Amino acid sequence: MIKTILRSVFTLLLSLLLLILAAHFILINIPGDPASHFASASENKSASQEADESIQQAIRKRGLHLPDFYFSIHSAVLPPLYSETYNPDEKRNIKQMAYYFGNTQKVESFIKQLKHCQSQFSDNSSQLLFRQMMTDYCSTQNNSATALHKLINANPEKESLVLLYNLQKEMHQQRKSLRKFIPAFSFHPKNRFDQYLFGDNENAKGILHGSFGTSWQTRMPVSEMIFSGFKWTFLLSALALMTSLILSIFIGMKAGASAGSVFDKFSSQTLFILYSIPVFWLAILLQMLFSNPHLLNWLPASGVQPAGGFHEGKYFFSRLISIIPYLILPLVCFVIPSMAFMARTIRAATGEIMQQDFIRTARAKGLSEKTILYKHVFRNVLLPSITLFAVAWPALLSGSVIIETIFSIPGMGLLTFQAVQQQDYPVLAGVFITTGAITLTTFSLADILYRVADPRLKT
Amino acid sequence: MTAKFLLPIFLIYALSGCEPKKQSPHFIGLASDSNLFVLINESVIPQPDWSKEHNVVVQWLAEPDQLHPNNGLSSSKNELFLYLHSFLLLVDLRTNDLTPVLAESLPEVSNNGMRVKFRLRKEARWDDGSRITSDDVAFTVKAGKCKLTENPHQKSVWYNLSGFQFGEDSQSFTFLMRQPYIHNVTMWVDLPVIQKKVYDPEGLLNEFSVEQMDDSLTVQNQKIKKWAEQYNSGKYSRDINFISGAGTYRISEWKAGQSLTITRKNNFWAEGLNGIYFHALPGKIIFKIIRDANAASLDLLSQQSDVSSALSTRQLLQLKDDSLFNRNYHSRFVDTFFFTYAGLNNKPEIAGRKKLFDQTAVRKAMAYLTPADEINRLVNKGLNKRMTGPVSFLKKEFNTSLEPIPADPEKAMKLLSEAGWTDTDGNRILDKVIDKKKTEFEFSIMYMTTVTEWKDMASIMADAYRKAGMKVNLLPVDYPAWITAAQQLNYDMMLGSWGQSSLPDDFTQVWHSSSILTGGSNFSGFSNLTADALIDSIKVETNENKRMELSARFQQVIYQEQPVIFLFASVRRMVVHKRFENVELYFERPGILLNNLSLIPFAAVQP
Repeated sequence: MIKTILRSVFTLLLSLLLLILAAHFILINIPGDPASHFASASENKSASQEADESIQQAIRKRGLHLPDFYFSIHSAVLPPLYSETYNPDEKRNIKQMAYYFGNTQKVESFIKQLKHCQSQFSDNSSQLLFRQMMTDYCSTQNNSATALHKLINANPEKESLVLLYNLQKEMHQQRKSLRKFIPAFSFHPKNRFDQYLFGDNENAKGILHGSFGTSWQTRMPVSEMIFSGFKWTFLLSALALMTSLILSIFIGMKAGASAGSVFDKFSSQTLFILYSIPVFWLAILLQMLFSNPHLLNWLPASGVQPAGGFHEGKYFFSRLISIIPYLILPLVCFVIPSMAFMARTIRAATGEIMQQDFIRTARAKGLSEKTILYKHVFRNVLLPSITLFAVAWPALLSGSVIIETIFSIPGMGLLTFQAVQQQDYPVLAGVFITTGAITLTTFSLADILYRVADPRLKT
Repeated sequence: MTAKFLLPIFLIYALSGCEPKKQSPHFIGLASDSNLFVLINESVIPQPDWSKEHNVVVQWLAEPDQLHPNNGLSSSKNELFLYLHSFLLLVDLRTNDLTPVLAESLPEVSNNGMRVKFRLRKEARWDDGSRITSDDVAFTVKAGKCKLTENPHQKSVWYNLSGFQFGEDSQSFTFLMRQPYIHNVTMWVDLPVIQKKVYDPEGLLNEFSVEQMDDSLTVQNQKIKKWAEQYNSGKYSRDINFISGAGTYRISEWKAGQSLTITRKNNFWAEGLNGIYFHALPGKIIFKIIRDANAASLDLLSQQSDVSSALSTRQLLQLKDDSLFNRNYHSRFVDTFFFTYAGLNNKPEIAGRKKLFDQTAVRKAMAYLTPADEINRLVNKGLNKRMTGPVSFLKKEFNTSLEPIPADPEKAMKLLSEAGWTDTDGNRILDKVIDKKKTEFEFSIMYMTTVTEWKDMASIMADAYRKAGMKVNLLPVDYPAWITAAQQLNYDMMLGSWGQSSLPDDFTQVWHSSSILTGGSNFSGFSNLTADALIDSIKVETNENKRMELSARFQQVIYQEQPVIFLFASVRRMVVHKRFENVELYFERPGILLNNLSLIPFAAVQP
């Protein structure tokens, strides 16, 4: 047993590390620019430099300017400027240009010269032209090339423009588009994954030091936010799982033991229908029925506790009582689909066990059906129940965006949904790792429980 | 047994959308709609089941991310700040003019617009009883301007404030501005004055001047860094013990994701003063978060909330047919300064897209093809007013000579033909040779999935364009994809919305060529020398008559160029419980001032 536990713990730790790695790579590849959520445009364009500085500072503080991982394999044509740039649009333009021309040096010189020209010409049409030149470069006869000609003619004294023109011409003349297929390897000791693991000695402590960091949006510690969501999801999940398991074992065993009976047929049809009902539809249906003054106004339509708070001096127990009406409808939505699935599985397992030789022997010994069912069959049905528990528990704990949105429950599902919308990476990473760790722990626990429930597995 | 039969009946009833009982006509009240706000002063008969508690429960779709005085972009934060903080000035929502709040009167502005002199009210106090002084205002400026403060969205506002001069006493001071700008005074309506003692308890910024906050080297000082670290932290963003201001209310409870409660302060400094921002009538205002539309409607039917602006047009229209709802609530559709538009990519070459809408004639043709009235009738139930340009009809700057472009397919086809778009191969799709290549008129309409009405709008528009010989695809996307495509001009046509206020407009962010691809919001890629020159003039013109004239000309240019198709002004769907009287609904955000809600005289309730 100890060996099994140790092996489970080792597998758990290894899986956790892989999970952190997977979470990191999923997050950095989410489309969109996370900086756009903490930075917006300015009306007074003369102050855009001030805003840009502030944005850059926020980006550095969050480590967004760093490479993604310890090493990278990329095309050899990417100029060093590429890894030094954060802005995703600019980065994409540099990459596309480098791939198109296949000339690292010329592309870097061209972009630097373009930036130099941008600083020299403040008028809007020139600025627009320079911005267009970053994307519109495939032909020497296009609009931006013509506009550059005009600008040179209007400003013959500006050598920087001529240099820019010449660089563009040389890029076209020396184009080696196949060079983009040559690979290159780079090592990055300072990177986002490293910062996430070990922190940066300034803004983040790192996950290996027990910190998920701070939310980019709310500035709250991620662990605090996860705990705040987790407590509601845990309460609902634990209640839902307990109710589902009890009901499904009762219904499933009874139906399985009396296969073909009226109860079996009725429960199978009902469970099939319940399992097929979309959760959001069920939730709305329940709300319309039980929270509607035109029908049965028995339960609140949303929330998890009275909006105005509890009356002062209320004891824990009376507070708990006042929460119960809020939990009933979401609980039903959680229980019905999972109970339907579990009961179907337990029914099938019971049916199989009832055909076994030891059941026949028990019957031959003259034991009552009740004793056979609850003494002999029950223990064997526990095995699939453990599997069901291991599958359902992490899924329930990760929360349901749909149920939590409809009933305004501030749980894990909603937290994840909001973090995805706001590209709040620290929160997302924290949620992924927490739910992943719960899943792994549950699987390991199930592994141990199998051995407890089935003496044959001990050997 | 009876229950078994009743349950399916209940279910069928619920599924049928709960056909409401028709209301009796005597519930329809009259509102005296002034030009600037809506006053609901109809007489109501108090009902025995109405709560007599003078608290207000407000429905909110989402809570603010944080309540930091400078950082964070949540719009709901601004609404809360009206109750939690105090401002030098605010907009009087009844008149849309500026009104002094912390300031004794409107400021004295020098002729060149570069010096703005204020004097604080003598009675203005912080919660600890200490007087609000120019020292606090100087600290507010330092905190906002400091390069280490994480407020890039505000930097442009603070940038123009270059210096601060203390006045002859602790109540007066002068802001020195970098250049004349229309928002040199109005900037203060968005910026609360914060208490130095709370936000810099150690006095770390004392030895530094306002000017030094702009200096990259000075802000590397350890004291400033230490202050900035604390100031940017969650402590001043989410901890209700540290979110403190000189407003009428204080936060008493914040249950993350559920509700936020603010409580009236005892001995508020402005008690007895006259003005919409000085009253604090309800004892508590509870902002309750309800994310689901159906739950929000049921919540109102059960009288669990008093105020809502979170319903959709369709929902409110449904509720207005319900006698129970009408018995308990006033409801109005109120115009706002927001509008919806269909963006056309004026510079498709930037992202290497098809050159469809780069010609003015084609853009005008698209406007003539757009069935605006049909959209308004089907999607907005005829409630929204048509926009003619970027300025709201609610503003005095609005150019009244401009008429909405009607749906006129014949005119559109003529314009398209003139622009070279004809069906040359008989496949019923318009085509044209662009850059020596035959190009079909095929494009996508991009819209955000989160705005349910946009899907319907896009479908109606697409049908109209298809009839004109265009191949149209619908492209629903989520917000990150939408904003990225819009900023990079990587779309053909898109649906978007834009918000204004009653304050003078600086058109730079949306219409100036310098806002293309620079993080600005010129998502159509509109670039016009005359428009640029007018925008540059408007933003520094302090003479109101001249500015209005320039604004009218600018609107004319936009109308001629049609860089986007202007659709409709948004309406705010307001619901207020009838247990409150003399309710005022405003066009300007937040639409209602909850601190002014007074209870009806309940003595008239019949036992």
